[in-house]
Amino acid sequence: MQYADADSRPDPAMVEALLKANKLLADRGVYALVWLDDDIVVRRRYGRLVDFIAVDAPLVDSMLPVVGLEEEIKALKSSERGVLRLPNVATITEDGPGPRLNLLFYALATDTPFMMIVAPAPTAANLEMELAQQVRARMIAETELAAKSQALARANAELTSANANLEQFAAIVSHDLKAPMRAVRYLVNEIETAIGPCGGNGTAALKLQQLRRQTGRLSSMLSTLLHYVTTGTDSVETVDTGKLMAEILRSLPKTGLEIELAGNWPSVRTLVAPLDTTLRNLTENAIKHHDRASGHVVVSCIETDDALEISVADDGPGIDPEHQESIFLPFRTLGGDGGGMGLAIVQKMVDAAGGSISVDSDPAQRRGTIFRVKWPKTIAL
Amino acid sequence: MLLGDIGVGKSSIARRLVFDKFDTVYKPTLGVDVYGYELEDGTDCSHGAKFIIWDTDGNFGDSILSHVYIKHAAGALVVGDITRRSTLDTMVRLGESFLNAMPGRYCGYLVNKCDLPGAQASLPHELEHSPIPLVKTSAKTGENVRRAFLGAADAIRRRGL
Repeated sequence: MQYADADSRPDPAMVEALLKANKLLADRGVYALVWLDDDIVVRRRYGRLVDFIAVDAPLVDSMLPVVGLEEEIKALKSSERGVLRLPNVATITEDGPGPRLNLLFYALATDTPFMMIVAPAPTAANLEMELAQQVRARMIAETELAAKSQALARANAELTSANANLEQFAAIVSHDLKAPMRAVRYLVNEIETAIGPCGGNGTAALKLQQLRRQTGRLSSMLSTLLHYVTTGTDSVETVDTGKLMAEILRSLPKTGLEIELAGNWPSVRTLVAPLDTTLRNLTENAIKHHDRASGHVVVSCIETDDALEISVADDGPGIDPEHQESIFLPFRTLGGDGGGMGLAIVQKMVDAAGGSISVDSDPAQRRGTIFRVKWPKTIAL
Repeated sequence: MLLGDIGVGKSSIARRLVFDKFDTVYKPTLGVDVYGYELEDGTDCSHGAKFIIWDTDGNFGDSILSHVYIKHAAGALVVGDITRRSTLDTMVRLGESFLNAMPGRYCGYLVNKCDLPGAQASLPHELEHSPIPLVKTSAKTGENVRRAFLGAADAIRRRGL
């Protein structure tokens, strides 16, 4: 700075202007000053940034970041550099973070030997920090996402393995139980023959009849369970779906129901046995669960670019919404003489083909049920 | 002094100790955040202790060791994330560097986020066989956080730091 007068004394007008400028800056929180004595006790302060600092009390009482640095500040007197910087410091309390400040300590040659200049972190730096904050937050999020994906993949692998083990177990159990079950049925026959049609007081014959029915049911459940766990692994072949559907309809027992084949049934390369099972079970179900002597079942197919959209619609009693999920679980039946495996097997076949199945029924509004199957034309093996 | 890579949970550990709170929203520390905390005489702290905890920006990396912040630190707790191997390697480097720069000071390792899936991951050999004491923590559940600071307070008192 150059002074205007010859003896280098400051121009009072310039001093006044500078003081005004400094006051303005202090009032706007651009900077603040704190004077400290030899014991780092606050003697004076200037600027609203340091309103929270108590005068005539040790600085550490008001500024946590200075705790432990008292000797470092005192050493400034003998230091050549004469300045101690504590940049970018904030005190955190339960109420939240205090202002982030840059602190600079200077040694002075006055009765208040130290001065602390306080300034908020520069705006440009704040912007850079905001950017850095976002970049880092994203990096952390990506890392956590990768870790979670890895955990999910591991869980999926474990689940697949558990499912395979479960199916293997079910296959072994159902296969091995069939032989003793067959033996039980033979024994029932032999006992019936031995005691004759009116054996005992008739109660024994009745109980044997019940036993035969239950063992027959158990055998049937074992067969369907075995079928459930061993199907769905067939190879891909070209199949004329129209011919396949016609064969299925021919093989079904004759009833009073009218069964209509509708839509376009193309030839596709697909898993033949699973498609056969799906169409057969859905059509059989429509017939089996119909509650009237006459009725109408429509089996239709629409070919799209990537799938066959197959539907089996009947005008039977319908399925209450509360049961529409559970019917696809093994051994769940809404009545009739089925083993409760038909739709579970269909679900499994559709899954094996990479397709989907849904049910549409609302008995409260109208009779009938529609099963819709989306069967992909391309099978991913 | 809390040191460690970014995102390992240094601030969460400080907040768990001081306010007994955990914030699920990640807010990186920029610069240095300073917390005050007093362990009262009695119960689990036989002598009482007053902590001034300097929670540092993970971006400082090794440069933190030449910073004035660390010059008067009685000890450092170096934090790593058990689910991120690279942060554990950084722990080893920072812990050894701290003791080289500040011989005689206390240093402890905190392997954090032990509540997360993947927390069973094995630790690097250098970490498991280090003479620096190691505590597995979870800032989220609070597991071992207080214990780690009590251990540091005891060691700092014993050494007269």
